Amino acid sequence: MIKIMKNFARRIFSGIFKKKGEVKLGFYGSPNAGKTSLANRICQDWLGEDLGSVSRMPHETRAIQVKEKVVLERDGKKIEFKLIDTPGIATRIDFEDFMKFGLKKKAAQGRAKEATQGIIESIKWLDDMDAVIVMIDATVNPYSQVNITILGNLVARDIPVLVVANKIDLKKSDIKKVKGAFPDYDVVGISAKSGKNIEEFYEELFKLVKKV
Amino acid sequence: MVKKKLVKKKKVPKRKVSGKKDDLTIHFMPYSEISNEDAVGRIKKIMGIVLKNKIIILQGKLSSEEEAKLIENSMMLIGNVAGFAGIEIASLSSENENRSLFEGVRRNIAKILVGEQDAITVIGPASVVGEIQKDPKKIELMLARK
Repeated sequence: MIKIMKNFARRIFSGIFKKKGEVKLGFYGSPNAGKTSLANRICQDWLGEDLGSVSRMPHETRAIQVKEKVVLERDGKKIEFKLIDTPGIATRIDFEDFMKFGLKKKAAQGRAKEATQGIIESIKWLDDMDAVIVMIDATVNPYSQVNITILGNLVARDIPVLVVANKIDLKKSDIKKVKGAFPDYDVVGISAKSGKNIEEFYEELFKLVKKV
Repeated sequence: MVKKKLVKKKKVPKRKVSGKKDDLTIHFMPYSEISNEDAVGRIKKIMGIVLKNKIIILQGKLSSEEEAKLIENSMMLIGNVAGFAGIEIASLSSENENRSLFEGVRRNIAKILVGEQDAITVIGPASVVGEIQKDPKKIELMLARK
């Protein structure tokens, strides 16, 4: 009960003091789900520049990255976003996994250390979001505990969520499975890399913002 | 000139994951074991067992906030506890099953009163549990290859 009241008060106060029209939009998900790729796609579409670098090696984003004043327009309506790209949340980090990608032991250990700190930071930032995109890799099993934990925490904080099933351009992807795993959420399938279905994503994003 | 006395820094030994490497111990934990603990107490208890290289099968499940805290806590230990690379966790509950309104209300009241006992959670150290595969009906746990 105290938590519900705290969340209510937080939303009221943040509503009063936040910059008019600015929506803090977080990108959450497991490593390599495509959070930075989607954030880059949005930034490219509306600013003509990237937000962060992407890589096949997991935990490429190891610190929170923010892009302010990203203005999106749809049907004559403009919304200003502050995009917050977060490091992928995982329950295990083994430096030896990075060595499989060709990193030397010391570099792998350094990356692992940064990745663990990034995960802690991601979890801490959950409280600061107005709305969140939860990225799911549609080519892998969506029932991972990390996805469920992230969604559960957002629901507990009363933060509006849009589930984005990424990589639908790949043969292995299964958007039906993602929709089946999260029946209580709006799910949109996209390819952040190729831009497939991105218009549908923007439409859903504008619907999401109405809930803020 | 005053000579500075060199004080040798005492080397603090790194904590190690205890338990024999080849052992596989499964700790069955009834919900009553954590029901009276607060979130910090629950996480402490779970991490204490995980750091002994044991797999926990817990009756019930942690809240999402507790799970997030558990992940945070395990991230803090990586690099500070030798041989620890995090955890694997999965829980199964009948949360999404279709049920009547009355049954739903009844379950929610029970959840508030006695916690979510109608679930099962598997938690293990990443050094022992290689992978957990989960679908709505089952959890499959694969041991790490040594």
